[in-house]
Amino acid sequence: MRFDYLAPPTIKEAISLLSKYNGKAKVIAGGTDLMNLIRTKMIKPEYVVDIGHVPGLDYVKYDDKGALSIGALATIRTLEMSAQVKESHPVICQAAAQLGSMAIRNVGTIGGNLCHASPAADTAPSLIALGARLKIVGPAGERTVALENFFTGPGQTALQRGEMVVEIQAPSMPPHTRGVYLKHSIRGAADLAIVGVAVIATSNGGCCRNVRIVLGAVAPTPMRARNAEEALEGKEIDDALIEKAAQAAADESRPITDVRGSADYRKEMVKVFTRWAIRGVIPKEEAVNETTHIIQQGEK
Amino acid sequence: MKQLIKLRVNGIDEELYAEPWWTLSHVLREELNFIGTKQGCEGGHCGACTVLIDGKAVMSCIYLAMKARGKDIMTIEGLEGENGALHPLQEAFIEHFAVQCGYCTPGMIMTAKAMLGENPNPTEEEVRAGLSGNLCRCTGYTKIVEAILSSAEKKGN
Amino acid sequence: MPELSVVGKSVVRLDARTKVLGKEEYCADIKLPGMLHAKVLGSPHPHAKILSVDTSAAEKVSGVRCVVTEKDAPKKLTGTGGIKDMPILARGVVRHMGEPVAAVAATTLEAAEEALELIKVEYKELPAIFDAEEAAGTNPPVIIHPDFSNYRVTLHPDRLSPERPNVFTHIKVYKGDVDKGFKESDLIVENRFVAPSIQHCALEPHAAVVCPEPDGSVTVFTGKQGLSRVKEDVAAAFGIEPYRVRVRQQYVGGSFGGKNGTYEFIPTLLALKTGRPVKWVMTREEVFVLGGPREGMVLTVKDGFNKDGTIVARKMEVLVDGGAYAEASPGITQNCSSATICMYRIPHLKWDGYAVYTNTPKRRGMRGYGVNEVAFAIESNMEIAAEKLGIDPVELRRKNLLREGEPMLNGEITHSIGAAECLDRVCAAIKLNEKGASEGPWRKGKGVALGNKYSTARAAYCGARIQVTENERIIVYHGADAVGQGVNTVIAQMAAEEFGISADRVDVVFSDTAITPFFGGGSTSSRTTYNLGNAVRRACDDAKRQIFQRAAWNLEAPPELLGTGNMEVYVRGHPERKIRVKDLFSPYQDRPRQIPAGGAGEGEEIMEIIGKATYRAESIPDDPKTGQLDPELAKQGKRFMAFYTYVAKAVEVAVNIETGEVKVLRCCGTVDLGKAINPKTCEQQLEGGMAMGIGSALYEVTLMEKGRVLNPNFADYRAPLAAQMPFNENMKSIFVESAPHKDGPFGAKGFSEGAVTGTEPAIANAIYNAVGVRIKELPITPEKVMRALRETYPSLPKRGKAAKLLIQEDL
Repeated sequence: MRFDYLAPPTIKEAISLLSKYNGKAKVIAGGTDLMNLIRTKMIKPEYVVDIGHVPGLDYVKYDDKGALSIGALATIRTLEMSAQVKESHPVICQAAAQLGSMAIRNVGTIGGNLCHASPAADTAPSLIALGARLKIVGPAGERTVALENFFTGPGQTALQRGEMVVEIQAPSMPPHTRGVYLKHSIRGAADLAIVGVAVIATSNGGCCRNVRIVLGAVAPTPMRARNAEEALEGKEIDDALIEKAAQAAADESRPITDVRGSADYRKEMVKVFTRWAIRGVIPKEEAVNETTHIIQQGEK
Repeated sequence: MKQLIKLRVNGIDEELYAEPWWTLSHVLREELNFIGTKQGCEGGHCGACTVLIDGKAVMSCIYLAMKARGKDIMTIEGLEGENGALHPLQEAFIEHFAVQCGYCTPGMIMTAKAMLGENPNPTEEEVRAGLSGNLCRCTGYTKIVEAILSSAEKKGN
Repeated sequence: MPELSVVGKSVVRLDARTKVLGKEEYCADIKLPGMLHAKVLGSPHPHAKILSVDTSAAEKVSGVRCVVTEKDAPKKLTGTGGIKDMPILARGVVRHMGEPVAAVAATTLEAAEEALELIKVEYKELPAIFDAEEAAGTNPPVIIHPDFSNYRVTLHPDRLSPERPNVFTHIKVYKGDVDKGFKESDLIVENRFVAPSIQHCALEPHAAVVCPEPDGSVTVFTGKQGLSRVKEDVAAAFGIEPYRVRVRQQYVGGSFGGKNGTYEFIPTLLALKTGRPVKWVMTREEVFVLGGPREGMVLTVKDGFNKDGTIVARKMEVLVDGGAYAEASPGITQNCSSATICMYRIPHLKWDGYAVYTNTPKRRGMRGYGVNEVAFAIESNMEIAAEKLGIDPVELRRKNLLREGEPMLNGEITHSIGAAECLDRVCAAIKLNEKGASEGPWRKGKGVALGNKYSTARAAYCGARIQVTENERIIVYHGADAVGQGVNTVIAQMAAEEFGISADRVDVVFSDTAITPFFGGGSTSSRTTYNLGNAVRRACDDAKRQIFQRAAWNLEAPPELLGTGNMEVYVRGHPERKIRVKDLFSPYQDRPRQIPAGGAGEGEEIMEIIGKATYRAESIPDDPKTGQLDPELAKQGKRFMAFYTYVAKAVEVAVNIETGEVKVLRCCGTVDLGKAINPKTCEQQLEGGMAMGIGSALYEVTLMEKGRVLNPNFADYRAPLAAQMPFNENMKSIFVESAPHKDGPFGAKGFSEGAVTGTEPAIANAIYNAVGVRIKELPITPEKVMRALRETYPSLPKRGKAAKLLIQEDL
């Protein structure tokens, strides 16, 4: 486990190092994922580029339209505890709170969690459902990419040579919009998700609009359950429709069998948790504290 | 290649030559002899290596020593007061029989200190959730939770 | 019994302070000058021939001082139990993934790791066998130890099974005629249960630091259970005189059976070759594989009942998957029988236990040594039977329980059985017959189970030394292992009680084969309180005898009239005639001697007062063909096991009918421990044991595929965290003292293992009570519950909200 440690003080220098050592270098933010990958010899970088010393990348700020910008180095704990985010994008807090233990959240960053690109990443489903975009900088300059298109495979992203994520952008949540992220795991936050479900929808009275249903841990990348969304979009919500959407989500999911669960069970749980998540965002349903994983969400 | 680095541990500036790949727990245990920080899994899953960095709980076994430069590190050894005075959490752990083999104990106490620092009056549910990074195999957690709750009541933090 | 002043009190543990300060040095913390770091190369194949090993590149790595393979290792095969089948480094063949093939000692861990990667081993893969049932056949496709008949085996031939080439132990307990019994039964209940391999998960990884001494001897610093075995094994393997092998440790960061067996060979080999101290700390991944997972078991129970509920016959078969090397599996298999024979009255019994080799990591027994799996099978079967018989399951148990003075199923006379009271009190504490109300998808249920844990007498002899010092303190010397169970505090209390002082005036010197007395078997088999307690009390008697003999002269009274308390010796009935113990000691330097007026002659010079004693639990052997004791000797009260402790567990669970999750809401344990020497440390053990039982019931399994452990880390192996345990107010520990053991110190019996027993079947029974599904394979995961719910209630998956209503009616 030997490597050289580089701590560039600016983004520009970081990009230059990543370009120079492409393939031989790995970015470290908090390191909670990277250190295990290196220790278990899954990867053997010659250089570890610590971007943690680049100042001003850990912000959480809102513009006057309510759009959220998060610096890539903002820790998961910062997001979990941010009063602003709890007020404006509570589903992000909810997701952050379910990612690992407190000590992991203190060090792990939002940028790191997304770039590690685990199919089970806890921050991804809700951010995709919010329509988040990533600001990426590289040798060719700056670009933004929809988070939905950022993941290209398990552990793989759309980052090109020399590029790094610097910001996560989430649009403001329209009025009467609620979001819920539910994680099914055996030991709660400490475990990787067996299934993760994020649902965001705008609903005023009976109809549901702008429905986004995003599943984690049941495909090579976090995935939109588009058939499930279509089943609800613009319709009056009743139990039968919720069942139809939940079933559609289960049918669309493509889980594998691994140490956390079998594919069959995961499909079944997609249905169960999609059902609960939809109920969590539709205001007229009964109280949603029926499973241990749901945290009450306020309406936005 | 080893590099001279400075780490502030328990209020004291320590200087040492460190390899770039060394974790904070390696440096604390092997180079600076703070053996109170334990090695249980080297993966950040068991919490035996928990220390405080700028007051926040951190798994030192997956934290690069290089990253710890310029930060305030506190280990279990830093809790002891003058003339061997025990921190209220340490007293609570003794009093409530929260210690058996003792290997998880420093990590538990450091996590509890961080937890109570941010949430001085936690519910039992919050304490148990807050310990999700700390594995204990001896106690079943009952008396550890009792010790932490009683320590919170005493508001000794 | 005189009023006790220290024993029975919750004295604060004397090791707690240094532990909360982080000042205790565990083996994994040890640093010695010039110390090298060891790494071990494990086999990547479950079964393969070793064609060649080339260490030349590895030896050239800067910092490497030594690379060893089997050609450097001692030739004798080793093994913990009665079968020596295991080489120190693999010789010609590897039999499980992770089996040590080579080892490196280097100045840094990185250099050692780099060297490991450069060791070139050529393997030829062999067919491997992983399924215990398949391996146990008479004509298995793979024979793992074709050379078995040439091994040193101390098991009796009647405990072997040569017609099954991979089976290395066959234990039998036969009584009466089961076929006749089943013919006479009104109801027969037969079921198959599976308890898979799980992991000990002691927080401190396996570690050893071996130091060659200038005089040619060797010091082994370690952290384990059982030091004297390490001393014998290392001495025998390396041809060193046993007195020149010193094995020592301080506090151990947990063991639970995982650190039995000798793993110190490899660092010893490296230390002797390099002439430098060598430290080996297993990585967590290595602990999960090489440290040794627990055995896995398949158990079939066939019980025959009369319609009034009395058990008529039992046929039980237990298959123990021992992995690639026998290690402790013979003992575990033997001991599974003990869990069966000591609880219920059964006229006809056929009990067969087999231990079999598979190409999986060798196993280490875990807290309970088989009794937990046996209890899971028996206590689940009892509940199934109770329902079929239409008899209350608690009544069914009570009806069949053995009583004091009755013969057990092997002829041993039952003594000290508090099982009935345990059962009554645990049912009352959990309010067994009051079912909790459903909450959303959570259905509640309660369940109870009995359990027991023997303590072996065969290895149970130990010494103790009591030193009475001039500083008015007592020092206890013992060779047992302090693995977290609080032995030093409990022993200090007993010594303090004997001398009429407070426990904080007792110091303990422990776990050093050069200094402390022998402790047979290590702190295993729940034996320490009982064996060491007895030895310590006798040693105290010996010390007191010396004190009284000396003081007799000072006080001018015969020794038998003297008493001691508070570090004074006094004449009984005449408390004014006394002398301080410290004044019995001969003065040194310039202190004047105390000679009473009239001087009745010089008393003996005393520089030291050291009492010593040995305790041995007497036992008789069983007949290897039948497992029965000699009836005449048994009638005289001779025993097979030192003692049996009985336990009962009751739990309330909530089962989520949508996800299959099971949450333990309340957990209550009762233990018939004879006497709680320190009630709080007893609670510590019981709470920890119930947590372990909850873990193995619901969360824990060593996942293996073609011999590879798939979850060798704390992320994927799910030992329970604080949030998985019931809230404090819902954890209850109750200690039953109504059945003290006549030979236990203050009537006490050990129960650190029984603390776990019965939790798994209580949970399985509670789940059945909650949702009507019976799971017979541990762990009871959400997937298994969902599958069982689907099978039991086939209409479940099709409907959403409507399905919930249906279930409410059904359940």
